[in-house]
Amino acid sequence: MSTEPIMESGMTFGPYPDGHCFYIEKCAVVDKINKNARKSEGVQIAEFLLLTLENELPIIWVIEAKSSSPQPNNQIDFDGYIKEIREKLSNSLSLFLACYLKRQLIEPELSNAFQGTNMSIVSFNLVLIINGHDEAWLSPLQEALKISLKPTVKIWNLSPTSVKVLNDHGARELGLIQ
Amino acid sequence: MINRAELKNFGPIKQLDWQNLGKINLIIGNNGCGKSFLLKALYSAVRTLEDYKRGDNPDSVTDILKGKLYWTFQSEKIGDLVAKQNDAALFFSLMLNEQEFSYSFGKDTVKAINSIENKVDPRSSNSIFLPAKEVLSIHQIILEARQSRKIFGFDDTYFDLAKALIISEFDGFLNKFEKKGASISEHQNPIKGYNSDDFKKSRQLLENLIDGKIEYDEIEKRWYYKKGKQRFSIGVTAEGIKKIAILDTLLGNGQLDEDSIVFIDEPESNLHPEAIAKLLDIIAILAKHGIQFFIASHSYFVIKKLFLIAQENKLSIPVLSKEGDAWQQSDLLDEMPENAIIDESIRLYKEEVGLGR
Repeated sequence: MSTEPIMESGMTFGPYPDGHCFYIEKCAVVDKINKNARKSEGVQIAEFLLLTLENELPIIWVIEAKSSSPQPNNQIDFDGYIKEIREKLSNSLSLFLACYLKRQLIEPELSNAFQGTNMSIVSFNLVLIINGHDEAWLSPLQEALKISLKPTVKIWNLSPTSVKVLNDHGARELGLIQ
Repeated sequence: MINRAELKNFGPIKQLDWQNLGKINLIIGNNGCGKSFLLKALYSAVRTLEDYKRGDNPDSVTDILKGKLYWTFQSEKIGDLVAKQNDAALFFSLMLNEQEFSYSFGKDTVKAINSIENKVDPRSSNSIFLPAKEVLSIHQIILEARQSRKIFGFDDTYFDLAKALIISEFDGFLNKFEKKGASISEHQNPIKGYNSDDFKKSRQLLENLIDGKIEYDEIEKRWYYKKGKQRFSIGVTAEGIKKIAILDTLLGNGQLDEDSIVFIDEPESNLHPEAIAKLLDIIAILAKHGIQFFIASHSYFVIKKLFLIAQENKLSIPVLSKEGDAWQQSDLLDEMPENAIIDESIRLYKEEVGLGR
């Protein structure tokens, strides 16, 4: 759990209410899973999960933050970039649910707020936040990520609008960053 | 409303069984895949059913259908509508308010349609087709070409629209009054449909969108765009304004009511993306109050906006998309279907980010 702000990709996330942020990237389960893995073989994980309430309905945001994206002036491969984000978001959702179901032997560090949330009704948002990304080009990235995450969205019966790509302005408007 | 449509060997449409239709229905696909053809096939059938037994019309449903197919598709013989690839007959079936209308004919059919079945109750509502091109500036030319000279050029989607537009609001009011036989106060304050608060609200939104309205000068037989006290020739009026004004006019003169079906071919043509979104919001209001819409589009904005309307209103919006040889059916309430329009927006992004490597 984290009550301290999380600094990622040049953005400050939180602080969030006590017990509402699961810093999955830094949790012991991920350390265990990736302990002996070579860099290319480890399980890729997003930054953290955030539990919020909207109209009294719980929402869990799976957040991946980036400071870069495919641009004319860099060498980032578009398809590789989308694939990496998909794996991180999808893996984080699966690992979180594995922890919630106590499939992992290590105490998964889930707070009472997460443990007390009914997973059959909670909404999940799979979110990529790119610091400084041009708003005009967020949409195609969101479309590409949405297509890539379609199996995950279908398997877990997530909302058709659950995949979101934001820049820092959008994330600030949603109260995700300072 | 149309609940289901089935077509076999109908022009470019080899086989299609579109089920569980909604109040708003979307057809997407590449140029030439048969989107407009499908809209016209549905339109000609619905208009046949609306002309049948209307007033003192003595014509049989077969004669009306033959004429409607001839003047809508404008092929020399209606047998030309049968798909060229094989010898099988054309088949068309429609469920309208759960009642079936179907017909079938072969390649050699010139006039007579022998196989026809109609279980649909006579309809008092009017349906309309809004073509991609605007009609107001060529309105008189369409009427002359079809009424006086009876020549090909403007098909029935244009001709029917041109006729519907010149009905005045007063005549529309009288028509509705005669048709329903209710009291004047019920006509002035109906709960649903023509002249109801919802229709008035939609008209106001349409007029706000174009900052005015259009009016027909019966003496000059010309259309004008009116903004405040100023009147402009329709020739110098923006195409998008004309398009939206047409819908406003049809709501105002009673040609559209809560049971009408509206077919819109490429609503995006001549419209700014912001206007597309606002127009679709108005369509959603009208759909909520009865009117059924069939929309054919290539536009990223149309698909995205309808997807959001489906999500926000928890409204089923069936989508028919042509991928390769097959028609795929999905629903915007469940998902954004994979389609070439979204793929192209991603490809353009990749092209842009690939520049300068």
